[in-house]
Amino acid sequence: MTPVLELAPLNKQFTLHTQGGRTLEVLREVSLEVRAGECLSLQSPSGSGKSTILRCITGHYLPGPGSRVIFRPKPSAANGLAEPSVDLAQASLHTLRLMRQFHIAYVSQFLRVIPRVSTLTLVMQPMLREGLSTDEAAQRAGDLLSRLHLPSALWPLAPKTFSGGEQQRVNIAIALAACLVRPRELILLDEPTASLDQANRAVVTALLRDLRDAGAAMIGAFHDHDTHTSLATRTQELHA
Amino acid sequence: MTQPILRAQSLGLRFGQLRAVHDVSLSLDEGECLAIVGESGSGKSTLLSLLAGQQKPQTGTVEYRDREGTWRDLNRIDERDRRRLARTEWGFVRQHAQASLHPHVSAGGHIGERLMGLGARHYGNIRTTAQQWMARVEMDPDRVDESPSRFSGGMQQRLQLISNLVTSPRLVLMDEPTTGLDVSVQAKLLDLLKRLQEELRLATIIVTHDLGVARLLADQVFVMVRGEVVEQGLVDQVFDDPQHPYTQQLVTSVL
Repeated sequence: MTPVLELAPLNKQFTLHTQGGRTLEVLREVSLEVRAGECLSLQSPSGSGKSTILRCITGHYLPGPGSRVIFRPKPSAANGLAEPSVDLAQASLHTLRLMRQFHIAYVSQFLRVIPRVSTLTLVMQPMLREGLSTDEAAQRAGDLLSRLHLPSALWPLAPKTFSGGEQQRVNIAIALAACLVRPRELILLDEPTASLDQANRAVVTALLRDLRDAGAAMIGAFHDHDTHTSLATRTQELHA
Repeated sequence: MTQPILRAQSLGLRFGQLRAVHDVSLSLDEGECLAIVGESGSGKSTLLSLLAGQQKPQTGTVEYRDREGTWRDLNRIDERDRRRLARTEWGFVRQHAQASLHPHVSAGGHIGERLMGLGARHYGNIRTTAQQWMARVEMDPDRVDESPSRFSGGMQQRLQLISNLVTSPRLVLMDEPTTGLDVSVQAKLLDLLKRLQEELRLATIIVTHDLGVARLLADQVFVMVRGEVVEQGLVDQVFDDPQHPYTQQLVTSVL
């Protein structure tokens, strides 16, 4: 089975122009691959570039010179893709947007949303973009929030004032809402359970395991051991 | 599958010795939002007026794909055609709402004007449409007959916005639309703009010096310094991993 994603390899350095042009080399020749139904867990001390790897794949960071980020999305009428693979390191803005919109889900570490918009609406939006009717989206967004143990009293409120753990679960719901309507080939997870207690961790892990078993390829940085053991099918060590 | 709606190739304009806009190219899709950021005098507004065909560039081309799917070269079509496009397919939102609102024309009159320009004649229908739009942006529909000079700054900005949106434009150009408004009013207006972008699949170009506004609304961003686009990319990439010294300075200056 061909990998869904291959880093062959990935390099990344940051040049800090505001601090005398100092250069930080964060990733050097990192190679990895992940296949459908697999969950690859990145293991390394914190600060050694796990998040950077995930952000280079989504295009939040520009992959450095010499990088090849080979992604193989399923061709579909919606994306109009003729190519069996895309090098995300070289892709146009248009292609990157398309990949994020239809093929790659990314659970970031922190929630960042428009102020004032209710939690339910935030979770409905990606579902509406997938073409669900308002009623259907409301129903399924509610199901998802319930599954993540977010009490319905919170749904009409904007998540700004929620606790850290509640915000993290809202963040997960928003990032994965579209996957529940139409599966994504690749799911990237940046510490998805970092601020959760054990019960909520188990709830999130179960949801992720379902998506993995349905055929998504996953790459994750997991802080806690529970999440790692219950999700990861393979581990990759990174060296600082 | 989204398609491009506006594209520009190597745009350039000099004012005497000054390079106001130098070698700018872009491609904007339906429903996409481009933010142009940079300090005052960097050429943001001039670029916007070139993209709207309000000024002619000395070099380069701007093309717009109209409702029928035909690409129109904005500097080759005659002025009548350009005005028709401006009326039917584009909107233009200025920083100072007052400049585009007449104190002797009621709120409803402003909204109705563009509809009448397109041939609407039934007064009752126009009034109902105006009130529906006011309600949609959280304005009191009962104030439809009032002069905009009695509205607050935030309300005037909403009025300017809906007088543009009432004819369902496909492309809206905005020059600092939230500058000078209270922070709380600004948040409401941004929330509204974001919602309308999604609901109406509007392509938008927004000039702003506020990075927060750009991050919230835009898909792609241009960073301008002295007439040149020094950095461009997806909005989170440009702000999270800025490459150019000026962009790094800009991003690290945000409180």
